[in-house]
Amino acid sequence: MKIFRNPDAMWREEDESRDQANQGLETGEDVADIGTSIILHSGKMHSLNILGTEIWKLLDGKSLDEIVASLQEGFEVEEEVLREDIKTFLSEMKEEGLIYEE
Amino acid sequence: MNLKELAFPIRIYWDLTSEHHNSVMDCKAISKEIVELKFFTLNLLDTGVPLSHSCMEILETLKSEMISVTLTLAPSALDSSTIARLSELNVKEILVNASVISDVERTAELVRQYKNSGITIGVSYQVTKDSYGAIPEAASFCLNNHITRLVFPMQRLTENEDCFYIAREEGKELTEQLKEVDISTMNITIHDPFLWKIFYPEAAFPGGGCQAGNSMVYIAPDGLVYPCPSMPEKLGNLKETTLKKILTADSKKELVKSIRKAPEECRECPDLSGCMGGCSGRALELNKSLKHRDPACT
Repeated sequence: MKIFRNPDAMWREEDESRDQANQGLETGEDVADIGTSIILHSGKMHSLNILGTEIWKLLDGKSLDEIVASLQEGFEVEEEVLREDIKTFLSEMKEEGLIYEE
Repeated sequence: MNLKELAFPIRIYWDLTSEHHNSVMDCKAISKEIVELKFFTLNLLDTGVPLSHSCMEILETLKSEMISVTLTLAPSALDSSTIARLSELNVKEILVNASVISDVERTAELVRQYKNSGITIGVSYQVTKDSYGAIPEAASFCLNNHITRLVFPMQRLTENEDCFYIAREEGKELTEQLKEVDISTMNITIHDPFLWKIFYPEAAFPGGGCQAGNSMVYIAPDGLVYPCPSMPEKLGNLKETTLKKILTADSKKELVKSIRKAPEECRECPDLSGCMGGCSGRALELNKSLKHRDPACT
């Protein structure tokens, strides 16, 4: 199953916030609450943290396995934990109509 | 997640109402900056007939860019050649400027005439002391005439427009009248949290508080930049500097911080989570301070 971003959703990565989150990751801080990108769809604004943003950027037709493999290189977390986080994120995105599967 | 303060806004409102002012601004350069700063949406207003040279130049510059453009124009500016041209220029949505019911009726004719144009045509209904009473009639007319897009634009308080709001009792009457109109199938945009409450008394206002200068910014016809069309506090002048410099200035950041704080007299209010302090521009215009509540909260 390949996963795609909804092409109608407009999105932008926030450079300053991303740099702040990356700095936090290096020093071991909790960066889950730092929004690093915004998505606008159907008049609603969504904010993603750094993990959400990295997942979002990979949604160009990759499968769940490919996304997990790709992110495991950048995030020091067990594969099963990461997979569950990604599945939860994708489920929320699907509910908001932000992604579709083929 | 915390992304309350954006580095750059995502929505830009740009009014082009005077060819004289337009001609002294470099509209093409400003359009390119809008693309560079990654705005998501441009809401262009040009009430001239025909549309100004500047308007066409802006649309031409943006036609292949990743930005969603909505154009608000006068009913008489829309003819078959204009709509064909706007379609080529990738305009996503056309809103017909309406201040009386006859303008809405004219829009219905245009929607019928150009239903296969590929562009959404809707109504931008200005709420004033003379027009607010007809809001339910306008909504009902739209619903019955296949106009599914209805926008209530922000007041242009930066342009000395009369500051107007609907008193609570009058709002309740409008809510009662709107119960007769099934607005659930319509795509309605409302910027004013108190007007929102008239339409959707049970639903929380979705805007996340006043977005002046944060997710939105406004360019007035004379090139002055404001946080919002309803916020009469100048951020800079595009005839003297760039949009990026205006948006990254410390003075702009300070202003946005003070706008995003709930007014002091609202902080203990149980309804604060619903209105988020109301319209800061209206509060500033009528109270001359951001510390007091929006007078529409009566």
